[in-house]
Formats: sequence, structure tokens, C-alpha cells
Amino acid sequence: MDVFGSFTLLLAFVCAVYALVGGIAAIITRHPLLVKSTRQAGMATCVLIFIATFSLEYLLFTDNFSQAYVVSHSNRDLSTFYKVAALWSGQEGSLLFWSFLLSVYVISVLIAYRNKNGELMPYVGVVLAGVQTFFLTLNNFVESPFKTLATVNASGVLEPFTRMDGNGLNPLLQYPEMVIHPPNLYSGYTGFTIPFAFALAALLARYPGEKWIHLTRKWTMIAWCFQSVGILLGAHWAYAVLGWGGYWGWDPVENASLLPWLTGTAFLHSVMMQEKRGMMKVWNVWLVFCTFLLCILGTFLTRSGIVSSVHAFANSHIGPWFVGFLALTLLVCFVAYVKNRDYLKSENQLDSMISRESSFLFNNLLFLVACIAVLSGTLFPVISEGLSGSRISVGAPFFNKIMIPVGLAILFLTGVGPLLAWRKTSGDSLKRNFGWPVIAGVISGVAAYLLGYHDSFSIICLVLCGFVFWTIVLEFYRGAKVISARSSMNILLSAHELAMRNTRRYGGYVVHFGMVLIFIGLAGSAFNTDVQRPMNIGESMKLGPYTLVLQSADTKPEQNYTAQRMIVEVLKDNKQLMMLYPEKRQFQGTEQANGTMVAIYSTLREDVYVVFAGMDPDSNLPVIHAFLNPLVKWIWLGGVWVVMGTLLALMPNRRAQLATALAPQPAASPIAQALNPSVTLREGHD
Amino acid sequence: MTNRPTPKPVILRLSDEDSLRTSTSSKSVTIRSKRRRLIAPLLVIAFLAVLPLLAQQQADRVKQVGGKFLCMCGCSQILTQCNHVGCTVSTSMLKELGTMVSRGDSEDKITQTFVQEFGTTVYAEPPKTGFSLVAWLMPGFYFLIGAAIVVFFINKWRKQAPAPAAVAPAGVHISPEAYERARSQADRETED
Repeated sequence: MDVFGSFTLLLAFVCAVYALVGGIAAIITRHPLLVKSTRQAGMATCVLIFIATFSLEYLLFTDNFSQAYVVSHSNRDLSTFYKVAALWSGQEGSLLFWSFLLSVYVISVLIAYRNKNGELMPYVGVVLAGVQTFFLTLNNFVESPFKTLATVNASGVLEPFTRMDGNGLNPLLQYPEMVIHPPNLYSGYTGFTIPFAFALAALLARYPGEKWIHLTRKWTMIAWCFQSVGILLGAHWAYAVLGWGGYWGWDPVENASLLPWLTGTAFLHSVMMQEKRGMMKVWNVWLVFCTFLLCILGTFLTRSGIVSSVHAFANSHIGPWFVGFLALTLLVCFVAYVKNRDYLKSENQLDSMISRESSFLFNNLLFLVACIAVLSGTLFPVISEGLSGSRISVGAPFFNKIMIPVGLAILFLTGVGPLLAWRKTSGDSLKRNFGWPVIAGVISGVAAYLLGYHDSFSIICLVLCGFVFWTIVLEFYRGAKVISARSSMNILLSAHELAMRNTRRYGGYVVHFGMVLIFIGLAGSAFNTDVQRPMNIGESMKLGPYTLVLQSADTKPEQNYTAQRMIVEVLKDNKQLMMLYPEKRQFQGTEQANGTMVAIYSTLREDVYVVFAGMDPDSNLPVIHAFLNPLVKWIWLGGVWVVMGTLLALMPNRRAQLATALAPQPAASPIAQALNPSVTLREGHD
Repeated sequence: MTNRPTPKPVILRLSDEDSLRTSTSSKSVTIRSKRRRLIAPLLVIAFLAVLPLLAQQQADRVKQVGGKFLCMCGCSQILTQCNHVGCTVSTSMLKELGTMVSRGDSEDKITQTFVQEFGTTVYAEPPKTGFSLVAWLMPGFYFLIGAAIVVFFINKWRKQAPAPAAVAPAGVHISPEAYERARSQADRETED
């Protein structure tokens, strides 16, 4: 099976090269057979990558310990569930998994548009084949997952051998979220290849701006949603497994995943300017290019060992390959832009500084500043070493100081943006729209203060959360009221109907609501407290309003590890709330043999987060480290709403009811038309 | 031997006022001595009561100062948050920090000691001096430059004269006909 997998991977490389070179020839010659054959080569590449990936999974499932990758990342006792995850737990396997996910997107695009967009698709196919060729080069010639173990025998000949068992999977990865977090994150990274391919293809084909945006709208949202879920699952994994009491440590690998998310989010907003007003075409093309380049840069940071991280793969020699690919991609994008930039000129007109357009511009500015600040902070140790000779670390305190104000400004614009009108917002409209949200914000701030949240940034954050929440409520209420007045539906059904009629707009508001919940959760982090001490059985310790009693300890043997558990009773006002079981796991067959399992009692108000931190060397008593983390649950709830909002935005719009359609529409005022002769509100949704 | 007369005991007759005064002063002597007797245990109690507060204060300071350094085991975690099982590096660093804090060393001195021992990679955030200042200034610089660009473009676009819809946008170097041809070609060749 290893030879078979290796062969299919090589064949996939040949097909990808043909799709790339043949595709370029097809664009030049416009020969229909060549166009068709390169498209089929693209599809064959994907199928062969699928086969190679399943071959590696087969080797993992059958415990084939003649394979170096299987030995390094699996063992006999590893459960089936985690044998799936072993595919992406190592450098070679995860690069193959990257190719696999990219192939899922590529084959979906090739099938979805097989009879559509005949002139554009060869360009798209060439770009996608180019990206696939790069990853297949790594899969075949740099980091092959199909390497057989061999040793030199007495006569100096290489002789294959098989190990009895493997080293096992890294204990940190033996957690259910590690089975779904990397696929989500990688789906986000690879998903941004599709808008990139269409943007570059449209530029090469000299299409004026709009078309590629319409074609890739849903692909971009899918990639963004995967990236968001991947980031949140990663945060939850860090929270529940690493046991340091937090969920985001501004680690270089975490930062690498945030960078394309920031530019992708900026793109999802600025694209509305192009759809609605025909503006910012150049900007949008470059945002998509940058998002893709940041995905590649993030992969480079994670895998090259250039920055140190607890999440990074082992140092390897693939760094120069990524740098080369980044440079080549940037060059292609730049040349394509310089040659065809005339076709991207925008119809930029603005009437006022206070308008929806301006808010989008400032929104993009903040996202870009956040992205560059995170990138420069992440790379600063390398830059400082190169320029001044000493490596200066940049850790969480730096990022928190920089990013908290930027995040609050973005939250502010999340509320302001929807209240502003396109082109110009009048003073009356400002008063009418801002009144209630501002009052709601102030009430939120006062309530937060009375509840004991006495930290300036947290108070500002909660004020803004109240403000944004109310703008969303008003947006739904005003629209629902109109539908309710025209039909017999109640206000809730009307709100549902409203959302289904313009899924993209109201899906966007649901995503904003999710972000509000996430920000509420983040505001709580200023009030985290913790206690740590060795405890005897029967001893108790206070943690805020809670009392933790160490009831007993036991040892629990499992299939692949032995857990040493502490049984901790949580009491509040002398009433038992629940039992928590923080544990340490001793894994079998692994080099890195220990793992932690945090126990959490989670409520909307706070999390009681208990870690068994090991045995105290002096007293030989178990050390219990307990954290009281307010509002953390809101972050995970916010993530759920973000996903629901994105799914809503991906749904097709429902047609308006006949009654609404037949209702008398106000005639367009000829005076207004005369005043604004060039108002061309294009297809799209605000 | 002369018989010395035995001194007659002098009975001082005190007036009521004097008597009161004496009684008051003796009372005050008693109270004073009682107070003296009380002060010592009170001081001990106060000391014992303050001791945990001092310990707490010291622990808080260790946490506050320790939050400014990274654990040097390679995990890149904040020193006070490093929780690797059996991480000997953070344990010894925290012990050293505790000693310096209990000695009353200033933050600068503690920082100097750690930097001498581990190098500049021990900083959790870049110091606001020398080349490291660049890290702090860059985000503000980006924001100011970006804001200036945004304001510039908003003003430019506000001044831009409205163009008829059929004509190519301002700044386009290809002919309006070619631009429109490209647009209709794109419409023709693609479908959503």
C-alpha cells in the first residue's frame, strides 16, 4: 500500500504539471480539446490525491510499522478516532492533508463550473494547478509521507525492517477537538485559494472587477467560516488541554491563523463597496491576494521553525520552498496587476465623510492595522535578531496592549456601520438611529460596573457590546415591523421572514451578534483569578464564592494511557454543585509521555477551571491549580452564532410574498434622480 | 547606745481631692501597665495578622513582575503561566524571582538579573528603549499612515465629479469602448 500511495502521489504530480502547462497552452492556443484535457487532468489530480491520502490512512489503521510516518505518529493502542487524526499530526501527513483539502475545493469548483464560464475557467484551472503542483512537489520530493524503514545490513545493503510498535500520537493531540480543529483550520487556509484563483484569473482574463466577486462570494464565506471555527476550536483546545487557564496566548502559530482571517474579514466587508457602488476593485483584488499569501506565510511560519511555538511542527528544511513559492506568487500577482490594472479602475465617488462607505474604509483600515501589527509582532524577534543581533521576544502582554484598543475600535464600527446610509447620512438620521443604541450601551456599562466589572477596557467593551447589540435588534425590528404591517405575521415570524428574504444581510447581523458575545467573553478575561497549592485529601480551598474540597484521588487505566485523577468537590454556599476530575495522563509508547486534562465547571457567569498540576516535590502532595475565569462561556456561544450567521448568509434568498410584491411601491422621485444622476446601486446586499 | 526614737509614722491626711488624684493616678498607672501588658500580644497578633497580607503582597508582586518574563524552557509562555509538567526551568526561575522580591529588589534590578542570565529573549514584551521601541511605535505608525491615506481618498472621491454610467471611470487609460467591451464580454462569458 505504501508503494501504491507513493505511486499515486507521483502520478498526481504529473497530472498537476500537465494541468498547469497544458492549461497555459490551452489559454494561448484556445484549442477546445486541450482545454478539456487539462480540466480532466485537474480532476484526475484531485482523485489521485484522495487515493494517496486514503492509502496513508490505511497504513495507519493497519498498524503498518514498516512505515516511518506510522511509527512516528501512531501505536497499536491508539484508538481508531485518533488514528484518523494521526494523518495531520506530523509534517509529512499534514502537508498531504493540505493537498487533500485543496483537492476537495478544486474538484468542487471544476465540477460546479464544468459547463459554465468557459472563457474564465482555463485561467482558474491554471492557477489552481499551480498551487497544487507546489504542494505535490513537497509531498513527493521534500516531505514524503511514504517512507519505508530500512537499515544497513552486514553486507552494506539497505534492508527494510518493521518495528513491533510505534511511538504513538503526541498526547496533546489526543483530545476530541484535535480531530476537528486542524481540518477546520486547514479548510479555511485552503479555501482562500478559490477566491484567489478567480481573482487572479479574472485579472489575467481582463475582466473588469465585478464578475469574480459574484462567482466566489460563497466560496469566500465558506473558507472564512472554516477559518473562524478552526481558530475558536483551537482556542478551546488550548483552554481545555494546555491547562494554563487561558484560551489565546498570542503564540506565533495562533497568530499565523489569525492573519488571513483578519484580511479575509476585511475583504468580506469591502466587497460590499464594490458590489453596491463599483468602488475599491483594486483594493479587493489585493486583499484576496494578501489573504492567500498570508495563508502560505502562516504555513511557512508553522513549519519552518523560524519562530518558536508550542504548536509548531518540528524544524524542517521546507522553509526555503515556501519562501520561493511566496516570492513567485507575489511576482505573478504583481505582474498581472501592472499589466491589467486599467480594467480594475473603480467608479469612486463619495458624498460625505459620514457614510456607509467611509465606515467600511475605516473598518478595512483597522483590520489591516491589526493584521500588520500581529505580523510585525510575530516576526519582530527574527527582525530584531537580524538587525540588532539580539533576539527580542514579543509575548502576550505586547499583543494585548496593541490589539485591545484596535479590537474595541472594530467593535465600535460594527455598531456604527449598519446605522449609516450609503453616500451620506443626515444629522436627523444620526439622531434617530443612534439614540437607543447609545442608551443601551450606557445601561450596559452601568450594569457591568454594578456587577463588579471594574476595569476600564472591560467597561468600554461591555458598553460597546450593548451598543452593537441594540443596533442589530433595531435593524431586525424595523424591517420586521414593515413586513408585519403588510402581512398578518407577528413580529418574530416577520423577523424570520425578513432574514430569509435577504439572507446575506441578516446573516451578517447574526455573525455580528456572535462577535458581540465573543467580545463579552473577552471582557471577562480582565477578572481572572487563580489559586494554587498542595492539598491533602479532605482539605479545602476558597476560590471566589466557591469552595473546592479535594475528596480523594484514584488511578484509572484506559486503552492508551493511565489517568491519575483528583476528585474535587465544588461547593457554593455550602451546597454541593458538582464533582470535578482533573487528571494527569501517562501515555504508553510515547516519547512525550504526559498529558493534562482540565476539569471545568462552566456557567454563563464564570468557569471554575481546575488543573491537577502534579505532585509537590517537598510535601509529595497533589498540587491543585484552580482558576476562576468569568464569562468564558460567552466566547464559545458566540462562535456558534458566528457559524449560524454564516450558514444563513450562504442560503439563497427567499422570494417576497405576493402580498408584499403587489403592495404599492413608492415611485422614484424625479428630483432625487436628477440630483443623483450617477447613483448606480449595483447588485448585492448591504 | 542611744535610743533613737522610733520615727512616728506620719499619717498624711489627704484631702478628698488629693485622694481622688492619687486614686486616679494609681488607676492610670494600672491602666498604663495593663496597656503595656496588652501591647506586646497585640503587636504579635497584628504581626501575625499582617504576615499573610505581606506574603500575599509578595506573591502578588511575584505574579506582577513574573508576568513580564517568558519561561525559558522554550514553551514561549509567560513565566507565571508556564504549567508544563515537571518544567524545571520555570520552577527555578520563579524561585529566583521570589528570592529577589522578598529581598526587596526593584523591578529594574530583577529585569537586569534575568536579562544577564537568559538574554533578551526573556522579555515577555519588548522594552520601550533602543531598537525595541520600534515594535511599540510601528502599530501607531501604521494606523496614522493608514488613516491619512483613508482620509485622503475620501476627500479625493468626494471631489470627484459624477461620471456618466456608460463612460469608463476616471483614470482608465484604455478607451471607454474597450472598457465597456471588456465588461460585456465578462458578462457574456460568466454566469453566477
